[in-house]
Amino acid sequence: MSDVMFVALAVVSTASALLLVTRRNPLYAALCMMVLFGTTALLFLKLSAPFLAAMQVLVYGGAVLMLFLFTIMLLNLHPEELGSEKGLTFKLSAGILSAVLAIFLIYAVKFSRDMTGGSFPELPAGSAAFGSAESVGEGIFDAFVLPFELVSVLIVAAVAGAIVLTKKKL
Amino acid sequence: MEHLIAEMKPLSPVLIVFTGALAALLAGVFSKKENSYALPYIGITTVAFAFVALLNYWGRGMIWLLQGAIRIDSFGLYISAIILIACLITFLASIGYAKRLGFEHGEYISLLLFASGGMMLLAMSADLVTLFLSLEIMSISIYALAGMARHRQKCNEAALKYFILGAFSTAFLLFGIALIYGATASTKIHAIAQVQGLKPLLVAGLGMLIVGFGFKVGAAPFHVWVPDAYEGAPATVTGFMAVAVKAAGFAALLRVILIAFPGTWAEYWWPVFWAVALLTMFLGNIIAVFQKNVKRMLAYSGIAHTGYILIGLVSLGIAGSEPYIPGMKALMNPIAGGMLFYLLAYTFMTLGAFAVISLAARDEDDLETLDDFSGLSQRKPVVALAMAVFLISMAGVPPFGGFIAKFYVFKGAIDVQGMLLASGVKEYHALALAILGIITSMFSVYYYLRVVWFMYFREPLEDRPSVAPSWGLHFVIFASSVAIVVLGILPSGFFSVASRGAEALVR
Repeated sequence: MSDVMFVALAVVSTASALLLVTRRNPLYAALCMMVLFGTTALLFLKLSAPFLAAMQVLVYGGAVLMLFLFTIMLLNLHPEELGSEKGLTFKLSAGILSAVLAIFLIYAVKFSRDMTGGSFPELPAGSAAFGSAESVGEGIFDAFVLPFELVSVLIVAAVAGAIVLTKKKL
Repeated sequence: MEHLIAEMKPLSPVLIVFTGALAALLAGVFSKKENSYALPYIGITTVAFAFVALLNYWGRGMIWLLQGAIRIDSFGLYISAIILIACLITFLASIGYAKRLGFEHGEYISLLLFASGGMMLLAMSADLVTLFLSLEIMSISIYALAGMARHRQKCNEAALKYFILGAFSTAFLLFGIALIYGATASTKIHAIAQVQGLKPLLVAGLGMLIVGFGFKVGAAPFHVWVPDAYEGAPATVTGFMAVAVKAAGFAALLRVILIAFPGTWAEYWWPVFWAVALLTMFLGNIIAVFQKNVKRMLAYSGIAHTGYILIGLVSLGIAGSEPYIPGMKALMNPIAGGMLFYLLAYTFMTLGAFAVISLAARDEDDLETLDDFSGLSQRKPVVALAMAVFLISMAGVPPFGGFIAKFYVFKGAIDVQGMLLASGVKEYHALALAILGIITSMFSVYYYLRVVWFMYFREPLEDRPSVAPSWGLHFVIFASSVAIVVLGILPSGFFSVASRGAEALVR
């Protein structure tokens, strides 16, 4: 049962990712992206990481996708304004590169599993609460307190940079 | 809470820099426009305090912080010192220049400090999560800095290209970190080394990390952003980008590669770096020959210097993969020390050269093309002399610091080769790289000396209106040229400091 669900989710998410990069109309691409984010969230849920699943929906499905859609609607480009189609060599080389990367990663995962006797190393927080909001919160304010603070530094720097580059009058 | 504050104390150099960044940001917002000349001094003061705090921890051994997220050791402190020096020189050079180009904002000072703080943390990170976040603090600040002169179209182009390619490379880095975490269940650099045996997933992660760091240090074939970003960004920012980003990128690269993938792991990575170093040296030096724009030429020369520094990493890898050869281990510390010495010498040469470019600037543009340098010796004899010192040092001609730096790097490779041959291993990779490095340095003499030739043996094209340079720029050019000469004549003291810095990585 769970394998069937996994395969279904994997197929849908891979297909929507492919459609996302091949659609010419940005609106369709954004819709494919929504499907991709949704299925990824379900995969996280299946991997018993409910917090990550919720974040995937809230942050990516909600905020990031909304930004994309707003931009697309604000620009409101006609098909002829989208620029010329990329050449066949570009498409082919991009396809071959992605295929090589995919095969490489699949092999890497498969061989690593064979060599470790069928199992990956236990994650440190291997308890039942792993992936829940509690364990994430504990991680943020205990083991990862410095990275958490660094994120705020990063955001301040990013805001300062964005303002100085875009504000009309300084 | 109190124990957290006590634990954070060794991190004070970085915290001072971040505090200074916030102070500059606020000062920029609340001060009047006519007082903005004072803003660089906030930065200078901050750097001075941070430097004192840094020296306080030199020679105190390793300090682990925050459950192993940070390791303050001689290596991190050495790189941090280089970054603070680069930041100080950039502030001094910005006095006057920033006003002329219309970006004398608090944000400029603030972003430079944020970037420096991120770089220092990057050099001290012992955890891939901290490493990634500090790398991002650095990168985001630098993207914005590259586009500081907003009215220049080239500048906008540089910032956008750097941003897009940089974000692309960051994705590789993050993917690599995720794969490594999947293979080892740890993000701690020292714990990754404990994993026994070869795991394809770990190798895949290592490959992605090499791509990500390769972008940051500007190694071929990941160097395409360098010329455009260096050319478009304001000269002071370009100098900072060239020096500090490279130093911080190398710090992270060396720490991750040498600590997480030590010993016989080197067999997997040194051939990669061998090819990358070779390609980087050739591409950088050959394309630089054809550049008419001096900033672009310096960009390609920066790529070439990355190649030379990578020779040191290859030598370390070859030495590390043959641990049973007696005496091989003893070679490793001087090699790493040579790389660190190279970074120091490169700091002064490059920042000095970019300071000259910004000093000799016209009202609107920087002094950029070769023609702009015609007859500089008649208009500004002292500046031309200093520029000649920087360029000749970059070419690796004695008695300047650049020569000694190249000497240490090439000597390391040849020493490793000698040790291999003495124990009967008939492989000539190290020797080949050293010889090819020396040959490519020969190419570089041509394009460096061409600028000198333009400065000394060409008549000035026309009377270019030159702006009154600030004391800061004069000071920077003077101090950098003195430093280059001192590094060239009395290198041993600096080299022993660099070797102590390298002790934290290889003993």
